[in-house]
Amino acid sequence: MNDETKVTHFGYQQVPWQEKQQKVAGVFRSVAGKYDVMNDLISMGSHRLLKRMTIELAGVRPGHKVLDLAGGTGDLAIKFSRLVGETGQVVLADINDAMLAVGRDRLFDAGCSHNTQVTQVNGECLPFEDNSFHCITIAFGLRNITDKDAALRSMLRVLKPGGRLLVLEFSTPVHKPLAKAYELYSFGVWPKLGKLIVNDADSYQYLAESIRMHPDQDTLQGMMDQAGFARTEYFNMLGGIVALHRGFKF
Amino acid sequence: MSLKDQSRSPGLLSTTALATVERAINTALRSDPASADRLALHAGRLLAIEVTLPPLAIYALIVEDGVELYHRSDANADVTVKGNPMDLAALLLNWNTRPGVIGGPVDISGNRELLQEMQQLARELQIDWGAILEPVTGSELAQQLDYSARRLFGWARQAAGRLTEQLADYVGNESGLTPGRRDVYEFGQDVDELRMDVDRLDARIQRLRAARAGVNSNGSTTD
Repeated sequence: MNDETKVTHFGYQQVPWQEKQQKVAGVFRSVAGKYDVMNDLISMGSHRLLKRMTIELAGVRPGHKVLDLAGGTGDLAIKFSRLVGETGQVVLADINDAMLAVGRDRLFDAGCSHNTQVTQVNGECLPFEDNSFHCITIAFGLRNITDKDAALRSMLRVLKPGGRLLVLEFSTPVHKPLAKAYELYSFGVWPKLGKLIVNDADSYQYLAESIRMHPDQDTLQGMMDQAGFARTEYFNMLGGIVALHRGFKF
Repeated sequence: MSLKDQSRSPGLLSTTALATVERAINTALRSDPASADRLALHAGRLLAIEVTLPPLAIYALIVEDGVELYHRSDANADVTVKGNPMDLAALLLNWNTRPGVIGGPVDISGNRELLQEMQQLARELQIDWGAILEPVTGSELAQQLDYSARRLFGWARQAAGRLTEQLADYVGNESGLTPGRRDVYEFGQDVDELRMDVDRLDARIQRLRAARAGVNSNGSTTD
């Protein structure tokens, strides 16, 4: 099947393969200005703790080169910029120009412009040389990429041997009552908050739907194995609502 | 950090606790710009605090606008302090310690000057409670609360100092629960003396055994 006839999911909708990227771009353009506020609201602040855990497992130290892919508003990039110090470098990369604009301003305001770069990239075909980065993180971004396998292969290519990939992403709750409560909350509350804060209920309806369509923990781990990552593992957080996957390049 | 440590699942509760402490420290620093500026001179330095019981590590990265705390770090710390919680608290917060209560061994490795600077900063940090509370309570009430808080903390610090002294006196002198330094020294001397006596006795037994074995072998040849 060629790309013109292939379909993929955009939330619960089936859309032509090439259209998903544009549709996702539309979602993030719509919410970029209030993205952080909305994240705080819908996650009740827990996304900051989850990102902290990601940073701790990243093993980043002074002199390292880090790629924060789908880094959006730069939460992780700011922290990494401080960890890698003067001799290191952080690349904040996102496919969405509106999100990058917010991220670039935040990096500048946080005094991190000396060791950071901001780059608009497509995660499926990263425009970096082979073996460039000690660490790659993608937080709440893989879900939105159309060809996840291609993206994982691309990330593996640009990682240095010994480097690690961390994927922080919504996943599948491990307990049924929690899953039910989470479903009620995400489908019932998120679109309403979206309407209230950014006047866009559809984007948060997409968010809730896209989470259900995203591979569960074991499937994603299998995809990382398939892409060539070694010693893959995952950590369930908030009862599996979010999972942090980690894999190494050897 | 070992591979096993790296694979340990991050805990949400401990991360929340650490984030809360970090926020408290940074809020305190924001209310004392002079201390914050002094701290910012060390931006990029990493302090490791290793608690022996319960086993716990906290890494403090100094950044331009405060500190960031982590449970793990792969970077080499500029200074590492290791000890039990009470002794570490006594060292880092400059508590007025008394022998026999607080002040046990704390291992320090790395840049001791940095540690001293941090101790001094902690001691001299002047938290402006008024500035912190003003957005919530308004300026007048904030000033009152600031005044009350300073009195409360001043009293608490004095009370803690007095309590430590009294506790040291009671534990060391009155209850006899802990030995005095002189007693410990004499006990050590006694142990050393006993060890040397045992060594000497052992050598004597070996010599006697050897002599007896020699006598026996001579006897058997003459028979």
